Amino acid sequence: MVRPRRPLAVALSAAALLGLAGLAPRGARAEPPAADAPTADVPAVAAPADALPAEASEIPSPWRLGLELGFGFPLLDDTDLGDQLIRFGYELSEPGFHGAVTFDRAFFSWLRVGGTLVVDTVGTERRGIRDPVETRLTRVTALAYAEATFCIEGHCERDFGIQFGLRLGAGAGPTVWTLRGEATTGAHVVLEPALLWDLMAEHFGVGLRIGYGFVWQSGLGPLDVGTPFIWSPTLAFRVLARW
Amino acid sequence: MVTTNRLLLGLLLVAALALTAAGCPCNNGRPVLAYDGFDSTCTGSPCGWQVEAGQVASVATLHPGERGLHLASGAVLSLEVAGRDIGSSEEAVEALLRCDAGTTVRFSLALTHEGASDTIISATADAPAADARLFTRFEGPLLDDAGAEASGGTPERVRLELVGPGTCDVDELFFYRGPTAFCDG
Repeated sequence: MVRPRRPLAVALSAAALLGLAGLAPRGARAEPPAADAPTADVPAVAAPADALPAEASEIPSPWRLGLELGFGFPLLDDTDLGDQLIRFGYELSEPGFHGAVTFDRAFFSWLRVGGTLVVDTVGTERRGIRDPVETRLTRVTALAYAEATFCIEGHCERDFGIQFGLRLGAGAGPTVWTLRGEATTGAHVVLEPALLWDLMAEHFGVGLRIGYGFVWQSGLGPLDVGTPFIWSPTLAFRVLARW
Repeated sequence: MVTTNRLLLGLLLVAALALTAAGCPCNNGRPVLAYDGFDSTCTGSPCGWQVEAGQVASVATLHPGERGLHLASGAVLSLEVAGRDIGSSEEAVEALLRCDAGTTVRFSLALTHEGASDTIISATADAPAADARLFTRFEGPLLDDAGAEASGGTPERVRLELVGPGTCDVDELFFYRGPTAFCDG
């Protein structure tokens, strides 16, 4: 069966790659140089932070808190877990809810390190001769990440403006699978590269994150069905606050 | 050119909707003679079923919240379905089950003809999947010993019979009596 989310996920990937164009490293101003400025001595990359004036090199607000809301696409179809859900009559085509709280700190002008607590949940429903039955998979993940950020536009030395980020995270957590009010539990592991676009003001920002997670799921239930590492993309909008 | 393409796409959509509406006046479901999801039991055995032989127990299948029947030791059980004749003769069975290697389940339906002796039509589930942990969905026609459909009659009872030395779990069972093809009729 052709499922609509795969083209969507591929489209997200293409959009993300298109977004890579026009990057400038953080720490360098994105504005074009003045017409009378000498060009021969302009470095190709950002000057090191310690080469900037003290005021400019200071990271104004190293701590940052974020809240994410979005959609996840648990592509379970070609796994034992997905196979059994389908055979039992459950539809797997629904995108799942994704929510996260992130907390990180800038250690350099181009590097943030932090952690995030993520909740992903997807319900699948069986319709048939009986009353509809819903089963729900909920994953709670504690994930640590490192994020390289690049300034696209704005006052990059002050960390204002449009930023692009590359994030690599790894985490794990419990999985809860419920059906008819009964729950069974397992564990999962997540490896997630992600692309981020943020519009930052002094204390607040908004952004978009596309995650390309790979999720391994331990065996669940009497059948001990799980998944190998499967691609599970996420699209999330986020609001950020820093101090 | 763009306008022409849009017009053609619009016509195609209207035609598709018209075909959907006009081409399928029939019921695309199957008349169900008997169904059980085995999610509840009555004094240890599935409600309404009579255990004729062997051992039958309720067991968690896909999930602790999803129950099925565990058949062991040559289990045989039957369910009376008299009076539920729907008037067709394309009986079939569909079951969600898993079995040990070398073991399967035979599903049968007994019919009476004007009070005369039974005609038995049956189907035997396919061999278990390569991974015996996992459930597979079996579906097949109910045929007599000569491989023919029943030529009529009144359904009397359905029966499950464990065949082989191992065990089987059955999560869901349909006995159909009626057209099996989409829009057939």
